[in-house]
Amino acid sequence: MSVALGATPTGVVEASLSGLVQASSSGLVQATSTGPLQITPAALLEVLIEGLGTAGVYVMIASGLSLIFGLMGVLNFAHGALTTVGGYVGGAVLVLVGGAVIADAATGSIGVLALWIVAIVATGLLLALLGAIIEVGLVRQLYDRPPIDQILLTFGVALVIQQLLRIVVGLYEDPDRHWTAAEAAGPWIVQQGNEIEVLGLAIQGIRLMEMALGALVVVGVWAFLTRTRYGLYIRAGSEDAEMAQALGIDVRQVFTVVFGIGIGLAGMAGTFLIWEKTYDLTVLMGAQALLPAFIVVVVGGLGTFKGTVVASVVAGIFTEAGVFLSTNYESLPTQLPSMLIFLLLVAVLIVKPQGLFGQAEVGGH
Amino acid sequence: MTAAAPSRLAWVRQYLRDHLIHILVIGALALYPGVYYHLAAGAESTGFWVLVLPGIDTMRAVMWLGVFAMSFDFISGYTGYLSFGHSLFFGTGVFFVLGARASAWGVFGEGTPFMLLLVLAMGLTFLMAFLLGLVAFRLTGVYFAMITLGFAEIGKLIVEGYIGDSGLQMPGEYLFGVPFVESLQLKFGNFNNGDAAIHLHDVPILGDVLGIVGNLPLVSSVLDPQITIPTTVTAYFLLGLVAILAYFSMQRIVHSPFGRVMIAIRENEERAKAIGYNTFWYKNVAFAFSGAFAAVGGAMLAAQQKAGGVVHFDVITMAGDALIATIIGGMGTLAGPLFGFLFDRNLGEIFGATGGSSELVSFLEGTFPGLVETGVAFGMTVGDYLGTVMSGHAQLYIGVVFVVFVLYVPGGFLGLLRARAGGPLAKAVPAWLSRRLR
Repeated sequence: MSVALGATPTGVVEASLSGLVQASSSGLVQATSTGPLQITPAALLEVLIEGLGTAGVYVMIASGLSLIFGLMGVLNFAHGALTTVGGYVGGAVLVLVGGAVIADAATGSIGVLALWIVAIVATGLLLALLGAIIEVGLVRQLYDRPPIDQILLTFGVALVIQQLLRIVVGLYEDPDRHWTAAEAAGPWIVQQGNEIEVLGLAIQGIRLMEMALGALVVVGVWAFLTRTRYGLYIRAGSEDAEMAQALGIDVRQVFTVVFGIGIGLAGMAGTFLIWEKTYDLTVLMGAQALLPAFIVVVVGGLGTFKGTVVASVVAGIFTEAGVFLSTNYESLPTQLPSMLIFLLLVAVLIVKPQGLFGQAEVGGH
Repeated sequence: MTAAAPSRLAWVRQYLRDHLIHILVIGALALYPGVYYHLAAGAESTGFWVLVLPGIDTMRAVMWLGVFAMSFDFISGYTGYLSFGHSLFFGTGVFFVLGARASAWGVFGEGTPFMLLLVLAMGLTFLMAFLLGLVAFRLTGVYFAMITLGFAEIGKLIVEGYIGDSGLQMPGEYLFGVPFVESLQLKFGNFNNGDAAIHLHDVPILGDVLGIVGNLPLVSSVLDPQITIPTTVTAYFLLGLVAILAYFSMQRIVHSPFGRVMIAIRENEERAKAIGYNTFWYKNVAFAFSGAFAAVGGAMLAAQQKAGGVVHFDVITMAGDALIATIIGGMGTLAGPLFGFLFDRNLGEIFGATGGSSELVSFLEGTFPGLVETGVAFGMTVGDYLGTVMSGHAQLYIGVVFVVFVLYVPGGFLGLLRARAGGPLAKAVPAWLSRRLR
């Protein structure tokens, strides 16, 4: 995280007299059409599918964050770093165990798929345990302090985890380059470029899995929140932690469980992100994943899972619309997709400060 | 000093009392290069002092980072509104100065005095921060932090669109001093070999004084009578001067009625509103000031490095580092963050960069030869272990210190000292001294 601010950046762009020069090193994508804006149904459909895929990714990363933020008011900065840990743990499971499975051609693809599911679930459980430990050991100490201190703590934890990860990964792999071995160990359906025909439309396998897993996460968390007793405790604690405690609910234990579940979800998302091309499995993946997750949670609103889901869909479609526009129309900057999500954040916070579905207060703080 | 004129001298004594700590700290920082060169100069990189003391270029970076962190503490520590957007103002300062040098803004050119650019950069960021605050201060707490983060990231992406991944480099002379007065200007920045060092004994009056003092029996054994200030150190002094000016400006604001309202907002904003203060405007102006000072830090960096990049706009790197430095140094104290950065960068220097050898390893190699080569386990030597765990990983230990501080020492170093001293150090130390010396 520390940049050698004493060093001169490599690469020099000399400023011209008339203004600052647009650098070509930022990877300007060539235009495929320079004509007037053509919005065909096919293009819209493509944006929609890509958007839902991205929304699925955002939901996976952000659902844990939303639960933690909603119940505890803690904006968990460590979420990104723990997502990265999940990615490496899942990747490790795949690489270590997968070698034997892939070698056997007969059970090949089914075996890999099954192993993949096992890896994701196992990562989820391991990270849930890690999350619970972090909560009991560190976060719990700060309940009496203002929420800012808890945010600072998670920020520090994120830094420490990221650096530890850098050391550990550095022993085996290059921490700054994508872990290709893990990616190769995944099932066929999520590998880059593999498409499946659905209703006459060729959709990338990874998109389908994103949508499927995203939907699964949404349904699962929603069912957990509304259909189980523990979910009831969580919702009660979100609304008013003191009252819930007065009614006999052990709020501290609920906090620990929620933190664990939240981190477990993050870990599962991290494993999945290995195959999502916009995120490389490097030590810095967490920082990349963190900001959209924050935005989605804040835009959706504090304390509501529904808000997170809706915000994920909106943000996903926005981002993909931006990608579509900037790849097809050269006049728009390539940073547009990344900018759009922040513009969304700023716009929503200006118009509706609590987020789309948020309530004004949480827990009676 | 006669008893006949107490009133004329009383205010001088009072002033010295109030500012004793400042004088001591500034004096220590000013003498630091001398101490450093005496203890570590010419030494091989294995010296103990080389290990422990930060180098001059680290100290230079601490100067502008310290100003940046102080501006961050100005808003976050004194009003309680955590702002993640300061990288935007810092980067604006950097790019404004560099761009003006490049005549990118049309009006300025190569020879524009640095002071002028500094003041203009402050004005520009003051306005930017004020406008941003108009929007952002409708929110509080986490939401405020998020919206400043959003704006900072948007700013960074816009700049990235213009500059790309590479940075902007504008070599040339940056003269610091009274604008348009040639003789009062000194040069900033990294120098070519053509620039001469300043020989203190050549300076008209000071040189004579030093010559006399340096030849006194006791002093001459310690002090080299021919003191030369290398050009790198001149830059340190100039940067330090700007930092001192910035610090005192911020301190003046904080110790004024305006500053009291800022603290009132932090303690209980609703009550401040109930008393009748228009907290929105106070917050906004405070934010504008803090943005302006962040730009000062950026301008200092631009003058020293003569280069800037998108990295200076990056929120997580810059605002994160500033946050860490502020917490370790002491949030809500103005000078704490500078010491926090001193700690941070010194540790970074000790542990070295990734892949390079760290000062620590060099020190061990020099002091305990053979220790580093000793094999410990798995075919790796002590040196290998240290290289894996320490080189380039200063952030890990800083992060651990940060977490420990957040948990157990929320006031930071300076806050801890203040708690022990029972009040701000500027008051406690003179009081303690006067008790001892009575």
